[in-house]
Amino acid sequence: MSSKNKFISRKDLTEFLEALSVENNIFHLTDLLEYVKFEKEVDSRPAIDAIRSTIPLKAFFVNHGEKLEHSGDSREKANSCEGAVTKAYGHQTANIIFGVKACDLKAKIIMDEIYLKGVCSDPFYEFNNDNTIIFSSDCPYPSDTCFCNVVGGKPYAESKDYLFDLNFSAMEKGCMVDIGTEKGDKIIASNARFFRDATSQETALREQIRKNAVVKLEDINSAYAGLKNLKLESVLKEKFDSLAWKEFSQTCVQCGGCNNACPSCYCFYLDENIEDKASDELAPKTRLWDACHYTSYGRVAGGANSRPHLYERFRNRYECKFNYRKENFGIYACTGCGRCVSVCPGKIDIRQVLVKLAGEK
Amino acid sequence: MNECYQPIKGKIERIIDETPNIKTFVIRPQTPIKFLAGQFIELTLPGVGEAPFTPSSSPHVEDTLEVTIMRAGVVTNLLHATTVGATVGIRGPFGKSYPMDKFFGKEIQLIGGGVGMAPLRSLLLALMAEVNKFKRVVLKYGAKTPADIVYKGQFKEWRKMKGLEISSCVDSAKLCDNWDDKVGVVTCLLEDSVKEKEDKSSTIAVVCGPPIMMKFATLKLLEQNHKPENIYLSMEKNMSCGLGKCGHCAVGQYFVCKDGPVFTYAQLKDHPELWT
Repeated sequence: MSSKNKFISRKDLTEFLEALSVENNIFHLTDLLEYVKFEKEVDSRPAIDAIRSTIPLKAFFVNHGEKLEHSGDSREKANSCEGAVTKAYGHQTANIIFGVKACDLKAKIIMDEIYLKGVCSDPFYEFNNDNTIIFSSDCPYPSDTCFCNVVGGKPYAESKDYLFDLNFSAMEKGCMVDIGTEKGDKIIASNARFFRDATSQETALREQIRKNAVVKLEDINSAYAGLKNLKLESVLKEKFDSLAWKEFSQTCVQCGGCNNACPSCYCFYLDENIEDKASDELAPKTRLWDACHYTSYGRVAGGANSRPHLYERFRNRYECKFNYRKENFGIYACTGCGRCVSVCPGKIDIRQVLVKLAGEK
Repeated sequence: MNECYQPIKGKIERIIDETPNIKTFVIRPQTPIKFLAGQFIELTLPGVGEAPFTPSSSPHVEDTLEVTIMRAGVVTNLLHATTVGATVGIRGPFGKSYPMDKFFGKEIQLIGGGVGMAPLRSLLLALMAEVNKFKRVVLKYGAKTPADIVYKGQFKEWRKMKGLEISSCVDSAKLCDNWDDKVGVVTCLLEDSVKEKEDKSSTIAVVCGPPIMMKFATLKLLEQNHKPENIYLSMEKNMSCGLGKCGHCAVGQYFVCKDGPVFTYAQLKDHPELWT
């Protein structure tokens, strides 16, 4: 595998994507923070230096409304559902997702732990995972809601930390490209005409852009800098019974937005197909995203509920991200993408909650 | 591709009325299902929903399995309305069973409340199959009223069994019930063991019942010097996928469906949501 950094010019990048789009579905990030399918004839403009997409990366792997049909042509089946993002595009060789941010790559570590490991691998997730190529990209202009630096992240991905096939660092004249996997290496090799080795000036410039992004993040999160030195799992353990949870959750309207927007919220429930009621055949289950903020989440037979109060469900999300999953997988399940801050109609900011909680006596 | 989310078909072969709101369903799966006492299955009522249950039959019987179900929600209400011959779906078995190998040579106390007797019956039948391997097997069972006692016919037979001691209680009984055993909550059956003044440090206690009963039974056992690592709890949470993925049954770092449903109290004791 080539360890050298590559460089591709802006013009060549478009041609490179055109070449890849013959055999793959390319979904690229836009400045509207969406993933849009790259079409050769259409004037699609990847904005890979934008911040993370509104819809999290998990939508490419675990589809809301996915019919869990095991039999038949699995490839066709796994992609025939109306997913949050993938929709019913005819599947070609693979999905290339272009513009994935480091925060989502970190969240994918949690998703992989849950879906690929444990008792068994989830065959639908595994299929999507095997058929997805990730082109990540640096995040030079973090927004006010971004706080990856507070929870041990960086606004760019390095292959020693995260799994990407290729990583693109956008610069004025093109992109510097890091190779993360054999798959990525092969893509470069078979499209060698678009790439050249990066120069030392380009490498230096990239370092400068990355540093600037980190400085910007430090600036944005100066009020929360104290969180960096805390063992948040201990804070969450110690403050489980804090009365402040009631105060924090006061403006929560239980919309589940934070759960749905979160790149590491993995919960789902299995739904029955009502039309099969009269049938003697057992229909496949349908997977629906679920959210621990919903009252129904912890409901069991007889109307009992392990978390009947809103503040308990609200607290659970924090405990899950910073305490429970940390214990399971050794990393926080919050990656600082800030989507929950952006989507919350109750203007709840996870950083402020953590700061207040940590300061609780 | 592993077919982890697709149930296999089963036919309801017999329905036994246990109490006014509990029935035992004898199900014949299309292909035999091998399970261990304490493991659970996901039972689908087609077009309605799926819910987790621990089989109440002997793990040594593979061609049919029995599930004892209390009418408590949407799925169980409609299950109670089904008739013999109805099709159901089964996924599983899932989770960890009672560790029988750790029970050998020891005194085993089964403490059950209400429909919580279901998994304990499966365990009891497994224990009785090798009864000579245990120092003593004791069953302590409590229900709300005499009418709410499950497996009434079998209790009579079990009382005759060699190597098994049974005591039972009800929360309340009317004169006309002709109840001649104890009246009180399940913990009243545990008072007896204090009188015995035996060393309980190696006794295995297996508790299953409603959360409130499990809580107070466990506290009583601890009072009597039972060791936390020898108290086994059968946790009932909202297990949905059965594979540790969907998240519903998470208790702290544990997923009840894969790390349980059988836990020792030692594993769970520090978790604040244990009894909720």
